[in-house]
Amino acid sequence: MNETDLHFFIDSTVNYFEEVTNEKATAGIPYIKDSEPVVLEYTGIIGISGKRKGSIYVTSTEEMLRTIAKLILGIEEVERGEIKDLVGEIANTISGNVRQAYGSDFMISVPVVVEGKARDIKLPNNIQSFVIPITWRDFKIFLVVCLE
Amino acid sequence: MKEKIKLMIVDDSVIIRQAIHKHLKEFNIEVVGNAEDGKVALEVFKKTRPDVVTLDITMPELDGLTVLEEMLKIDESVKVMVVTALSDKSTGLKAIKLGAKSFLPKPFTPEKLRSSFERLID
Amino acid sequence: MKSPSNDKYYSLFNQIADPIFIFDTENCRILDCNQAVTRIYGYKRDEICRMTFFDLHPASEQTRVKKAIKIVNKDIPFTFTHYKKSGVKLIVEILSNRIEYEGKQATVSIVRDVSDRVKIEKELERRATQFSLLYQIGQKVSSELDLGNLLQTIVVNIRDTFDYYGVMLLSLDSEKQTLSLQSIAGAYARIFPVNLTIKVGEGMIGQAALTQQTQLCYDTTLNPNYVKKAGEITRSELSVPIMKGEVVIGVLDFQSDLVNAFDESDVTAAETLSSQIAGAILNARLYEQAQKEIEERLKAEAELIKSRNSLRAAKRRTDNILENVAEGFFLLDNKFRISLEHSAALRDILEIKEPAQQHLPAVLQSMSADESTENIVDFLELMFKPTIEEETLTELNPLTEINVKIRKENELITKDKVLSFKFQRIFNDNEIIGLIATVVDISEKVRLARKLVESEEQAKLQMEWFMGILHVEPPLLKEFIDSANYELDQIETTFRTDRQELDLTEVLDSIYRSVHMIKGNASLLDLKFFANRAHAFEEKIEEVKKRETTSAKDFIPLVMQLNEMRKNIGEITKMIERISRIHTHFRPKRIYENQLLLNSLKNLIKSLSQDLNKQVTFEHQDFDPDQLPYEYRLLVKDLMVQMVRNSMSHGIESMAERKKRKKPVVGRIEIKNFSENGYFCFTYKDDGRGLHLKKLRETAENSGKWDKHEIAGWTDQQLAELIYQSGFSTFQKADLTAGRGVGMDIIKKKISSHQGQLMMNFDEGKFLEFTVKLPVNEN
Repeated sequence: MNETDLHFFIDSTVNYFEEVTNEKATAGIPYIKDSEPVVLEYTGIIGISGKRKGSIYVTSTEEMLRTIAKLILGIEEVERGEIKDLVGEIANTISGNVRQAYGSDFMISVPVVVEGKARDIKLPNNIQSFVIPITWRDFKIFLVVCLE
Repeated sequence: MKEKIKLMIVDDSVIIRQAIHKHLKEFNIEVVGNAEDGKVALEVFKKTRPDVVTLDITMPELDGLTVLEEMLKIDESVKVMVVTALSDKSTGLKAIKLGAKSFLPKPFTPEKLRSSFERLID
Repeated sequence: MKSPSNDKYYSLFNQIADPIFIFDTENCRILDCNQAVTRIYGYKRDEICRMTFFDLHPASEQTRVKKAIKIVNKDIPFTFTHYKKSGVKLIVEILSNRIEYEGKQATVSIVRDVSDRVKIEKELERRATQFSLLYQIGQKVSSELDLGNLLQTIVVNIRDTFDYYGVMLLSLDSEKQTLSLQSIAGAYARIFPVNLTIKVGEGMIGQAALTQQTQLCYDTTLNPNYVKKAGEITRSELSVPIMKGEVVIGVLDFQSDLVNAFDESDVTAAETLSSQIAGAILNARLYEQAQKEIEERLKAEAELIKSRNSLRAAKRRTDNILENVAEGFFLLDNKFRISLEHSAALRDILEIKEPAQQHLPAVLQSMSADESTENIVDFLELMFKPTIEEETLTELNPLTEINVKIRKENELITKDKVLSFKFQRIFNDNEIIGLIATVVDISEKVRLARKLVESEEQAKLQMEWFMGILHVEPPLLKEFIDSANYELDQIETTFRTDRQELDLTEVLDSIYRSVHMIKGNASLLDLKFFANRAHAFEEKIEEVKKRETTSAKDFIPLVMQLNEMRKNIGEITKMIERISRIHTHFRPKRIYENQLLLNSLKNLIKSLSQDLNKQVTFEHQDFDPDQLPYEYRLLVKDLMVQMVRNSMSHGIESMAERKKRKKPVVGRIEIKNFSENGYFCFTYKDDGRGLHLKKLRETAENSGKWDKHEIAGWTDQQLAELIYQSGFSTFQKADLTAGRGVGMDIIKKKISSHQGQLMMNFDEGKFLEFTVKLPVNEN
């Protein structure tokens, strides 16, 4: 995984927020993930296969997801099921968009959503993982990319 | 009173399904079916025979492009708009080649969805 | 009367076939006649004997008869006209002689009926005339091509020759099934209207056309088909259809004011004429046709020349456009080949001498376009399918921005370009017959855009910095800048030093230390971005360090980083100057500055407490910043920053652990200063873990730098001193809070370089304390 990859992911994520919420998001400086877990309340995980294998996940707080869901649906009350669904959809969209840069040999799986802050997301330990912190409004959301 | 356009929405994300329904309300549509995986999508399609389908690609059971092919075999006049996170042009061209009439990459703004839909039903 | 003695002569007299008259020469009273007379003339004998010879002749001949009687013509007959009792005319030849009849002078005349002969002669004469007319007409027909003239001539000639009452020629309009008058001759020409139209089937003429057969009417009063058209006084009529093969094209009509004027020979002649006329008409028509065609051809030619000229002009204009336009224009056929006609710019953009007829996807592939050929071909194929909307496809155009590597023929170097293609369908009826394409070289545009983004990012950065440093007082900033520049100078000097003298690892370490220093200072001032930059620099150094063999080339990225840093410092400097101008009234006071030192440390501790979720107090009542010599302010700041970092990240335990160890949850960092003879001294103490000797031992063993047994024999103090070794942090992770284990060795080196002392005191699990003594210059 290199600088260019990071650029793609950052662009994809920032673009997502702009399109969906019509507000800007800013990326912080990415760093290499260590053993410390980077997990917030809801996590959407996408498996990558094809030429480059690995995983990508998006993790966020309930409050942030709720805010975004309300924006998308234009309603006041959002159910938990919808929040879980949303984090999966965000992960799915960001990963799918990155495909524009990698070509069709970059296959994404259906998202898996994990609840709870306690668990750490298992990532292959022979590949470096990068953490990209993104700030939208006052919320922080993390994109963790682990690719060959 | 013009006949309503029968619409089927296929996407494994409930948020997306609801969003599409909400944004397209202004058109003369009747949502005759929803599906969150490819297999169910085909079953619902056979039962409800919609005029227009919005179709995701990454789904459980059966992927969207296979569903697209099967749907067109059953009814070659159905207008399919592929709505997917796989926003690369190669996917788009593949979908159109297989018979989809419109391609809308995610993330989409309500305006983009509406204008694509408008072009589709014209 | 007759004497019976002349019986034999009498019966002979009566048996002669020719009529014989005997008449008194003087008074011409007929004295006798033979039986032939009664038979032929129809008179009875006694009737005849009451007549004179003159009575047999018409009035017009009387004079001639008188004269003739006087002559005795035995040999040469006279020709006269006689009338039968019925009134029928006879043409007769008479021979006469004188005889004596019953004592009188009498003439005997033998009459020969030559009516038939005369008729035949007349007939022959007519036929001869007809033939000569036909011949004449034939001549005319072959020479006269003007149809109108021809027909009129024919008709007039016929009428004049035969002295018919009238002759007319009509042509057939097969659509309307009517015959219309073309030419007419004769007195009755005045009677008929010029636009005379006769329906097919109507009257003689109409019948002729309908039945395609000659119609002959001997006596118009007796013929039911006869239709009077105008005031004509026709008594007999002959209508002949004019045929072209099997088709009637007209009718030739003869009319006479006499009954029975036409006989078989007339019919034959008329039919012959008719076919000649047909031929003539055909020729004339053909001639007309030919004339028309020639005219049309000439017109068409003129048109062609005109349009060829305008085409030429159009082509010149198009060529002009194609020559001068800046974009690459071309057409694509359904096999995706580039057209012969294309703009000159296309050759320049693609750098191909002859792009015509080349397969576009293949061309792009040969340029290593960063778009798969499959996508390009799919897209172009879909563009040719009319069932798919052009707008939908345009969004999926994979060639809106592609990177290509262009190699000029026979050259090794490739040029990078960014090209943009646009395509549009060309329709003919509802078929797509081709695509019109434009290609533009947008390399510059892309480069500029990237530059713009960079400079925007630069601008953003500057804003961030600006905001970031606003909270920092200018003098401190100035200090930071000075120190940073100093360190960067050091690095540069290191680079410039003849490398053979130095171990490359040493060089890397030295650079690292300088950068680390900058990072520390930046952190202290909470110049987050700058600290991150320094951190990135450190990482790069680490990268290089990790390599098995380092060569001078590996330093290239580091040199770049150095330049980057310099640039950044330069920009901050500029910013400072701007701010300074605002703060000109503000004079830095040492006291104030020193207070700032403490504040900085306080802030650092506070910020690290938040980040690491630890609660730590900072005790500094026994530290008097005024006592701190000016020249050591940076150094002491440095030392304390590093110590605070170490304490915060691995010295002081988490709140939970502290609780477990029955320590106060809130940790403590304490600094004190004191003086000794010629030294400025201070102590730094944290109530954290102290040093983990076991871990130090393990680390030493794992490092492979010493023999295990050797390590086993070390004292605690010796183990403790390991922390001054470069690379010897017992913690693997590198982040902003701690270092990579080089903090302490920096500290030690710096203190040594100032001829100072560094001492350490600790209790495992309880505290760690450093004492620093720095010699004070009397000046």
